[in-house]
Amino acid sequence: MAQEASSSTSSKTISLKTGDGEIFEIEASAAKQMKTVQRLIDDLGDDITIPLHNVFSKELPKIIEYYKKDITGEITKDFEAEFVKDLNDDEVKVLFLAANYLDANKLFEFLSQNIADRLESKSVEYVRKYFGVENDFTPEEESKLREERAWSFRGIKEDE
Amino acid sequence: MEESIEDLFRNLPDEILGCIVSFLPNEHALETSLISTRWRDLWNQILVKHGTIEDITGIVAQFLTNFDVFDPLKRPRKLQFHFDDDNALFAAIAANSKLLLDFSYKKKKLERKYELEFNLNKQHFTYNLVPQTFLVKSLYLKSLSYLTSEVASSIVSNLDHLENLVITDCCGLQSLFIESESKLHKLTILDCLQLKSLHLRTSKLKSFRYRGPLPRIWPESHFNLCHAILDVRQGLSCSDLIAQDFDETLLTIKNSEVLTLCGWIFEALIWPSISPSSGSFIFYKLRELWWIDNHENENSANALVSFLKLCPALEQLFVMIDPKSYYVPRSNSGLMQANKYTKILEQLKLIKFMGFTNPMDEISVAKNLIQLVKGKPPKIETSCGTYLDLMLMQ
Repeated sequence: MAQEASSSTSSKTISLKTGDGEIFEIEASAAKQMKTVQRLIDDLGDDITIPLHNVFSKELPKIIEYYKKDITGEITKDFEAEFVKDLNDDEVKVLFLAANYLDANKLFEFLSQNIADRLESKSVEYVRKYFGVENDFTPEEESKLREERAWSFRGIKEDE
Repeated sequence: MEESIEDLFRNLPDEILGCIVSFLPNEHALETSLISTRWRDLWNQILVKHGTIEDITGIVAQFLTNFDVFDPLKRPRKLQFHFDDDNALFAAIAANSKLLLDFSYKKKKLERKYELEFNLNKQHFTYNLVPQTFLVKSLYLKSLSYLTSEVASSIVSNLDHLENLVITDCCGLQSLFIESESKLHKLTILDCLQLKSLHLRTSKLKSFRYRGPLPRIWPESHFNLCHAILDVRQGLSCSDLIAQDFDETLLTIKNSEVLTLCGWIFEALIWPSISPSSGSFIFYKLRELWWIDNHENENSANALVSFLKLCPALEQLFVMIDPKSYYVPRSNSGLMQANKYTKILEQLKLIKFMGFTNPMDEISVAKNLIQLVKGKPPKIETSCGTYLDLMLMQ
């Protein structure tokens, strides 16, 4: 008996619908990298358009671009540098939130690193603004904390 | 209503924020603890383990072996090991081959006295054939107690490449012996208030910083310090210490380039030993001196002048007044002779006063010191940051 050539996942595409109603196609193997999407596929089947309420048409294409490269094993340092080069802080934040929502580990870690890189040389106040956080330390708490921390590592580094 | 990006970002759970923080290099990660109370401990994405006190040496060894210095993001840089009922060790690895072992969990202060031996000379066979990529060069030990002292000894004895050792806040530590004849260059001991005896077999030691009451120090193998701090404002640990007991230590600081000294040490422990042969004991290389004294001490200015006569190469002098500093009451150390001024300081460029409450005192001390200066007078900075012009004061 001839084996039926199964419509294997290697060429199957999945339809994703963004929160603002647009539809995008991705390869099934790329969808596997986004655990949230995969879970929805498992629940709803791979013939249905998967709704992604919290991801929008602005960012999804960029995410799809990333994973297209990932499944062909083409993600290099250069590609990653290009990928984030023209993104402003808000755009990175949106992508980061989307990667988190989609449970897309590789992209999530890459964007975490990128955000860390953007914040590395910035002041504490800048980071507060970036995350929308208020300083709720009392002046006493803050100075005590600075003193304690001075002993952890700063103290040693300054001596060298 | 749609949440804005800011709202969504603000509401990120701790694990996510912690993930971003874990990508920051150590010192920056530490800074994030100041962002808000919620962020205070996020940088501590810690590997938490539990066990008994006997497990500690093995766990720390494993922690070091597993740390891949070429890929520091993948392995834990921080470890919190819980042992006994309510005790924990916090271990962290930082840039420049630093290891921190902090036993000060919950700020317990166990007062029972104990002794500590760090033997870094031991030849031992490496049991693990896995090459260690992370070699500890600086070790920072905090808050040891009688319970954890043996563990610390055992960990330290495995650190063959240790160059810098910092020991702080060890309550109950009475006696400390350190042996490292080849690698240890820097030793710092701070705030170990019960320390009575310090035995050093450390012939390569170049920098020694001590803060706390002065213990009996025995530098068994002589070493020449470049940099020494003896911040012993709290006085003596053993009231029966005499000048002779300090002689060997004095020899280790004789060639130092940078020195911090308390006035009372000079009066009580140094001067009595060197005054008989005055003129032949000189601090040839001393270029920077930090002098701590109590202004209540009537001999304070005389002591300083006497000491400065021994420092021909001095370039910078910092005079710090601390009203809480110990001083020798009414000693008859013969310092009265210090009134003979010889113009010996040719290189002095700066005198800085700190902690003086009365400007007249600064002027009076400055006038005394100027008499020792040959050539161009140094800049004199007062405790409030202004500069004195002694010409105008005459």
